[in-house]
Amino acid sequence: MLKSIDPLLNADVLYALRAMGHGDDLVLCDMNFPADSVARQTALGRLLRIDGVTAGRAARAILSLLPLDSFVEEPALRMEVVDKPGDVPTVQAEVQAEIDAAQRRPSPMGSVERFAFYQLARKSYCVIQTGERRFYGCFVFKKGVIPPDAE
Amino acid sequence: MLLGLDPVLSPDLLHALAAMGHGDRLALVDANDPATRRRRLIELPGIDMPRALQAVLSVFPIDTFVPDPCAVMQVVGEADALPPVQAEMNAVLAKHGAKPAASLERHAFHAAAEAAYAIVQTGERRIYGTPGSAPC
Repeated sequence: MLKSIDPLLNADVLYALRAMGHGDDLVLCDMNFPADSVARQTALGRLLRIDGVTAGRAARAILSLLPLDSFVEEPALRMEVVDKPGDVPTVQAEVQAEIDAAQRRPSPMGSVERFAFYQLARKSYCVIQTGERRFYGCFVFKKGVIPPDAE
Repeated sequence: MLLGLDPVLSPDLLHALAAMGHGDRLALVDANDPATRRRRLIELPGIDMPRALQAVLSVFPIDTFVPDPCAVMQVVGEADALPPVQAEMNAVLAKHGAKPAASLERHAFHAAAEAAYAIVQTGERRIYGTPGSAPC
């Protein structure tokens, strides 16, 4: 336990969040995602876990420290439902609410087709697997910057 | 860089602090300390001791279960001396509600530091800039 840090952020996750730089992608995935095989191809090279919680709760913990990239239009992405790219399942609506809260304004996620998502995930900095059982609980967050005069 | 976190908290240092549990000790040592002989080593070159302590204490709870959770190395032959670096460290401790560090004779200090969970070696060049502390 550390002061003022969400207890869901374990040592390995904290290390990765801090080690990432501007433009690096973080993948937050559900229990069915091929997490280990994809994570082995990422910059970090091993899977990180935040077990036992939903995607929304894990997103809240991550976004308490991770700035989203303000240099791109869609710094957060969700995996599209196969054949129904416009559908936003509840699990994705919950994560959207966490993003909006962290950004203090509506910041709609972009979306990526399933196989394009896998490709993107392999090029990411790291993959964090949650305890999310609902389908399509898979997201990409792009890390932003914190200016020198900020806290 | 992370929101609201002191930038001195490097990835390795954050990992170590988060991995520590109640009663684990962290040793913060100066640039002259033989730190490499010991445990997990985290280096903060260019950061002086009070600045490093300030960063650590921004996230690290000090143990309230023991009478002296923090200790510094005594000046050899002058057990009561308080070098400026140690006075500055006490001021940082005070800001976080902790009492001044107890002092340990040099060899006793080394023995305590050798049992620490991790050693953080700063760029502190002033001698006797070597306290240790324990978390809650």
